[in-house]
Amino acid sequence: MATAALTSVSGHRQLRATERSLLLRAWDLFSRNRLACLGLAFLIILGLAALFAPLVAPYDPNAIDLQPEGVLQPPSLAHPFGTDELGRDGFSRALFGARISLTVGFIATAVAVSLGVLVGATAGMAGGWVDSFLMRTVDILLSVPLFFLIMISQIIFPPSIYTIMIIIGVASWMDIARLTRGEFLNLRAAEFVSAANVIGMGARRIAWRHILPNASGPIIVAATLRIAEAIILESTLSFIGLGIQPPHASLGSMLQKGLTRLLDAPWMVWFPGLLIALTVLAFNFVGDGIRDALDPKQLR
Amino acid sequence: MSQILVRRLLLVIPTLLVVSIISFTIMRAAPGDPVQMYVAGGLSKGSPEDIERIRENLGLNESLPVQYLRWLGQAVQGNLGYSISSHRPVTELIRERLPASLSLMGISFLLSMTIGITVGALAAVKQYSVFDYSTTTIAVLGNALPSFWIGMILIWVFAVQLGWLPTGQMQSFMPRDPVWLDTTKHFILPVFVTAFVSLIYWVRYQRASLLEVLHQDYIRTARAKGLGERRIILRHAWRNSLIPIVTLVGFSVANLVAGSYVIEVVFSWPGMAQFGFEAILKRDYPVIMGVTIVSSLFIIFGNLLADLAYIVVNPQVAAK
Repeated sequence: MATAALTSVSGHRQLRATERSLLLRAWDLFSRNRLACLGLAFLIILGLAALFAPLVAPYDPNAIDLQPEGVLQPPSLAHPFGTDELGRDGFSRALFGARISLTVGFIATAVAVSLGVLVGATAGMAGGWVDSFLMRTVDILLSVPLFFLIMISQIIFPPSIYTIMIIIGVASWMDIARLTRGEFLNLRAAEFVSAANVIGMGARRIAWRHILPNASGPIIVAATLRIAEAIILESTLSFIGLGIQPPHASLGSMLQKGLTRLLDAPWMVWFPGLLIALTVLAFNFVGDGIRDALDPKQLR
Repeated sequence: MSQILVRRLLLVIPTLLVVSIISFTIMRAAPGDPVQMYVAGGLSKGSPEDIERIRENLGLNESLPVQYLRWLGQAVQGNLGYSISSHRPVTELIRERLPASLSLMGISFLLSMTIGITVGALAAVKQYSVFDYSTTTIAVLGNALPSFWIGMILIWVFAVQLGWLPTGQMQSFMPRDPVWLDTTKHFILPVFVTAFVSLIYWVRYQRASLLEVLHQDYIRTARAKGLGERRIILRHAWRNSLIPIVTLVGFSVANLVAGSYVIEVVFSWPGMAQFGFEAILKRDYPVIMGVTIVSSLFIIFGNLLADLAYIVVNPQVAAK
C-alpha cells in the first residue's frame, strides 16, 4: 500500500495492450514497477539459493569447529557472515535457515489460503444463515489473542517444522475468508454468473470454475503479503524458543542464539535479521506490484 | 445507531464464551498438569498419595466440562480463581501486571498516532516530494523488520555499546537516578520499538485518505473561491480525512494488551506477556485463562470501539 507512493507508474499506455492476453498485460504493468521487480529478483535468487542450499553452501551448516581460530569469527572472506560460538559458518547456516523460513512461510500460507477460500467461498455462495454463522465465527476468532494461543499450542504439540506450519496457517485464515466472501458476493451478481445459472450449471462448478478465477487477484495479493507475515511470525516464535527446534535452525532461531552473544559476536544478529527484513520487504513489494498490475484502474 | 450498538454488544457475550472454551480446551490438551510441574521442578517431593490429594483439592480430577463450568460460574462473578503456583487471586495478579503493559502500549500508541498522522498528512500535501518518499520508505522498513530484532539492535547500540539506557525491566533494582528519570529511561527503547512498528499504519492511512479528500470537488470549490491553502487543508480537507483514521484508533485499543507480547519478552518488561508466558510453562491454568480473557476483552472492545466510532463519524453507514 505505502509503496504505491514509491511505485512510479508512467502515464503512457499502449492501445494494443487490449489485444494481448490479460496475464501478459498484468506482467507488462508489473515489470514497469522497479521495486516489485527488484523484490521478485531477490526472492528468486534467495529461493534458488535456499532450494539448492546443500550445493551452494560453502560449509556443512552443522560442522563444528571448536578451535580458537574457528569460534566466533567476525565476517571475513572465508566466512562472509562470521561464525557462531560452535565455529559453524554463519552464511551456510543462514542459507539453510532461509530454506526453513521460506518453507514455513509458503506452507503456512497455503494452509491459510485453502481454509480461508473454502470458508469464504462457502459463505459467499450459500448466503443466509450459513453466511451469518461462518462470518460471526470469523469475527469471534479475530477476537482471540492469537499469539498467546499459538504459544500454548506450541507447547502442547511436539515441536516440529510441520506443527508450526499448520498452527500458523490455522491461526491466520480469517481475513482471507472475509476477503474471499466479499469477492464472491460481488461476483455472484455478475451477468456471467447469471448466464451460467441459466444454462443449468451447478453452484459448485460456478463457484470454482467461474467465480474463483475472477476473484483470484485480491486473494493472490493477500497471500503474498501473508507469506511475509508468516515468516515474521515464525521467526518471532523461534526467537522466544517456541518455534523451530535444534538441530534445525530458521532465521528466527539463529537470532535467539545471537541474543546471548550480542556482546562478543553481534554479527550473529546482524545477518539473519537483515535477511528476514529483506525477504519481508521483497514479498511486500511483489504483493504491491501484483496489486497494481491487476488493478483495472491502471488500464485507463 | 442504537440498534447496531445493541447487536454488537450482544455479540460480546458469545465471543467471550467461545474464546474461553477454545483456550480452556487447548490448555487442557497440553501434557502435564500443574501438580506434575510442581513436583518435576523439585519444589516438593510428595508421595503419589500426596499428589493425588493435591489434584483432588484443586479439582483437577473432575471431568473437563465440569471444571470449565465451575470456572465459568466464578468468572461471571468477577472471580478468576487462584493462581496454583502463588496461591494469590488471579484478578489481583493481573491488576499488578496490567499497568506495565497498558502504560507501555498506551504511550507508544499516542506517540505513533501523533507522529504518524502528522507525517502522513505532510506526505500527502507534498505528494512525490523527497519528504514523501523518505518517510514512506522509513515507515515501510519499520513494518518489514521484525520488532524483536529492532529491539535487540537498539539494546546493543544504546545499552551495551553506549551505556546510555538500561537493557530491560521497568525500573532499576538500585536506581542511581531519581525514580522518574530512571523509569523514563527504561521506557524509551520499548516505547520507541512498539511505536515505530505501528507507525506505518498511521502514515499510510492518513496519507491515502488525505490524498483522496484533496482530489474531491468541494476542495476545488474552496480553492476556486480563493481560500488560503493552509485553511483549505486544515479546516476542510484534513478533518474529513480523519474518518478512516478513527477505525485505526479502535484497532490500537484492541492491541493494547496483546500487541506487545514479544517486545515485553525482549525487554523483560514486567507486563502481561511475561506473566502469561511463565504461567504457560508452569501450567498455571487459572492464570492462563485470566490472561487470555483479559487480553480478548481488550481486543473485543477495541474492535467494538472501531466500528462504533466509524458509524459516529460517518452517518452514511448507520443509514444503510
